[in-house]
Amino acid sequence: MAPLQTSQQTGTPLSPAELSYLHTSLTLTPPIRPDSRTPTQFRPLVAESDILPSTNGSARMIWGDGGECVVGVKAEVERNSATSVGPRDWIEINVEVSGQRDDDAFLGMTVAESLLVPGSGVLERLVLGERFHWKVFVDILLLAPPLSHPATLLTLTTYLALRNTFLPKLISEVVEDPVFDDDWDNALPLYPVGKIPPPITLLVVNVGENIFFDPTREELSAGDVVLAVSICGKKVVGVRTLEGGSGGVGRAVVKRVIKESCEVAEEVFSNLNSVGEGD
Amino acid sequence: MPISILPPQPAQYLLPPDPDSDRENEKVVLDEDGDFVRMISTPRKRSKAIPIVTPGEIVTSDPQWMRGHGTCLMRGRDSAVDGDDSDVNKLLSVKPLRARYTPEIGDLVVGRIAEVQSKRWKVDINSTLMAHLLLSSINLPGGILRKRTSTDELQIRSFFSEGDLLVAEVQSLFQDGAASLHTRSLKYGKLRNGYFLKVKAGGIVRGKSHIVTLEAANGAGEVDVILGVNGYVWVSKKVTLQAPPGGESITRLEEEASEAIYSNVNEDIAPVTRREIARVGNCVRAMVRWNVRVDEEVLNAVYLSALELEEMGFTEEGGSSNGPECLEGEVGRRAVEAGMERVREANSKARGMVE
Amino acid sequence: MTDRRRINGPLEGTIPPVFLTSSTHKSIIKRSPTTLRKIFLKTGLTPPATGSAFLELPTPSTHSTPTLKLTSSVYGPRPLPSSTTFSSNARLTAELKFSPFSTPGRRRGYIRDGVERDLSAQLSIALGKSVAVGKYPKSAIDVFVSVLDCEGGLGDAGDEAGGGVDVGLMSVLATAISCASAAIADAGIECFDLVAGGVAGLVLEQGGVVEEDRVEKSLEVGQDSDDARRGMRKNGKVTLVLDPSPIDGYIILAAAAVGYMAARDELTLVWTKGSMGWDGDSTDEVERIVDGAITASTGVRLVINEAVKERLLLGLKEMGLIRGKAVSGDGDAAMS
Repeated sequence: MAPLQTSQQTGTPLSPAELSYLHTSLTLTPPIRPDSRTPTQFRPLVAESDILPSTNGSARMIWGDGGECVVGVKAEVERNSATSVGPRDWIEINVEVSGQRDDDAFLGMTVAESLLVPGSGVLERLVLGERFHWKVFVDILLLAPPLSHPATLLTLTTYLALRNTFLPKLISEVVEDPVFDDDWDNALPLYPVGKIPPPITLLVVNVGENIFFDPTREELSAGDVVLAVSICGKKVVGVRTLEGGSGGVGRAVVKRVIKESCEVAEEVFSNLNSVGEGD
Repeated sequence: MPISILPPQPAQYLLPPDPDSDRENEKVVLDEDGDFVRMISTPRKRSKAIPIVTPGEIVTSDPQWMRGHGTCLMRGRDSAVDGDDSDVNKLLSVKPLRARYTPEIGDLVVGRIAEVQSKRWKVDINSTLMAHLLLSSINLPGGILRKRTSTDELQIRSFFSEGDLLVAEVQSLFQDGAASLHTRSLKYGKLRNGYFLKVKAGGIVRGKSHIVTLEAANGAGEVDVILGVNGYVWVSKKVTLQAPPGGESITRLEEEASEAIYSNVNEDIAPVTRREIARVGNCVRAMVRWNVRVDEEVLNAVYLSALELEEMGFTEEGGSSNGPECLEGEVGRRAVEAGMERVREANSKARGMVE
Repeated sequence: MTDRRRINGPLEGTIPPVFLTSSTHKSIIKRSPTTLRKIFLKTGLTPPATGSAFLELPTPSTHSTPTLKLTSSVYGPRPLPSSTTFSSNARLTAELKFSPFSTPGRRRGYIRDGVERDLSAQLSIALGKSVAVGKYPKSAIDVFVSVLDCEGGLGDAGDEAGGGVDVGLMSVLATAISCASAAIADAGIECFDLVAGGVAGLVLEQGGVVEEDRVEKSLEVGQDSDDARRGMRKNGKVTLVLDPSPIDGYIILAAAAVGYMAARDELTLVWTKGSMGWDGDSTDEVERIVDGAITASTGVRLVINEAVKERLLLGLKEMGLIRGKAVSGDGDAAMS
């Protein structure tokens, strides 16, 4: 069973000499990454939002190692049904990796888990009166899977798309069938400014005492443990261990990973929010 | 700044094709992708303006031409692959501008073992087909002239195992275009003490020497760069073979060396050397990123420019927290441009000397 | 996707019967937040497998109490099929499967769904780092865990989460890790250390009593508990609960599951969910639940050690190598 064809396990392994060179370089203080980045530095990436006119929100992003991802968000009005009680399935996330036959349910789960974190207040904004609600479809299309783990690419693109998602304004009463404002300018954002933003997931790898953000494929295979840290606003809302790496990790390292992720995420958020403002 | 998110931009053409190239009989052509290629200017009148053809295009209807690679016969001749056409005497062939690596006899390549079979290895050399490395075409430990035995066959994994990197030369080509490699020279063999990187196959110039030794800055010693024609590059610390104490014969030295050929253990590499190795790797990557083909001269120049840029403290706006050796984005472009300028200066100076 | 090889039930129209909640659910002996449930763990129950284990919690149980029951079997190391490429390490694969009847309410299908694939992947990550895979080149170790019964829901659509995060999946994963670890030890496979799984969660406490039974209707939940969070953060206290169960009725705001190698003091798996409130610093609370989960897994580890040892002694005794030293009971180890 290979849950992630897109991870570093595809292809042949690195040679022992190569691995030991990488491992030693990365455990030095200060560490030397193969491309001379600092531990918290990301590879430059290209992003744009609002690219698909037929969606409620969309974004596209090209990752440093060639991964490319497009996200489209569509919203439909749905009647509250008796069989599916919870508002949990009001947001549906699909991940399609092009070139791979099976949809990657695993990746979708990672995104969904952080997106549906309780208390974020998104689900309340989807309520349309007593009998109807919005159903939001987030379709993630991974055009070119990156060499490293795609979780970060997916969540950053999803973040951008959701930040730019607008739902038409409801003008009918609570008990009536929903009627919407025709004027697109009056549409309401799904994630208003000032409320809790959508989450992002950062990939962190630890090698000895050092931790690295945005690891490349080689760094992933030389690392001890690969963690995906989901961050929503200023809070860590989820940590997951990913495939890859070769050993266990001390708890002190986990704590450092969480602490530094929060700091780095703040920077990432402010950069993401400025996408599209420049032009 | 830990992260920089850029808006999408149209493809950037880094350098205008240099007008005073030292290779006089060459012409530089810029194609749509922003790649520029050097090609021999043809005596033919028709193709002087745009020697780039597209599939299906009729190249010539003149019956005096012979049909070469990448062309096929319809009523006239037309090209099958996208690329520039060149002709040698009356042979007309079309080469793709950007494709996977096509091995040619004598090429120096860097490869990675993908599969071990009973008497041979399959080697990934970024080509359409896996290359073969026969057990009989490697140097066996214990002297070059040793006979291959069945014991060697049994312990084939002790020489090269899956994932191992090696540098080799293309010895011959099979009928289907797959390459057969050999490592029967002390220059070739297993790679250690360094870092592997991959660029596109066309990024490396097929030139005279592919093993470049750079005098690294900051007291890092010498750094070897192996520029595989297939786009695989190996940057490592230069390791010199030490003569054993007692001044033994040269054959003894060879034996000693060949014993160590297949070791997987790196030597001690100082952090400063590691840093320079990373910088050289960044230079190669930046050059290919900005459409400059890599050869010894240009690599040397770009490396020096990168060092200079660091000294000048050039960083992107607000990018003060970047690693000093990092050549991503704009910094890389500056370094490559400065390097190309340096090459041009050197060329014009050399020409002045000749005159 | 439906499985065409099976006869599927009607597409629509069957609603699972809704039973009145019996009072037995509420009559579970209340345990303090830091007490772990008693675990029944026995190894070597599946003779054809190289190693196997059965885990039940809580024990003792009556037939009406919801329990978590898992069996795990380990096959291997056995040779890799010839079609696969050479591997100098053993390949460890883990597969976790829910029985169709394991969940209350809706029946689970036979086809592996996303939840199962996700848990399987996490299970193999957690176990892979403890087994000395380098000792077994060119071989495969297959671990199968099947969940026979899982208490409460698994956070499926339709389950009432009560405004918090679900710990159902987390406790399934953590017990699966412990159970599979015991099975690996039973199989005699060389390991660096045994991995034990532990879960901990943070709940709000009010007036000294851990708040319970705050299960509201799903629609109001989000807003309500959000307000509740903000309000109660001032007067309420946050309590750490070890080994929380979905049927305890806590509203869990954040939870963590870990795979922990106690002897090496290393984590092989970290999985956290949820967060406390939206203001303030979150790093310390994540630290707190991870530490809590480690404490829980240390407790579980003692049970695994005991169960593995007892099985071994039992075997030795049967062969007549050890005399006199009686093994207590029928080999079950309990921990309170």
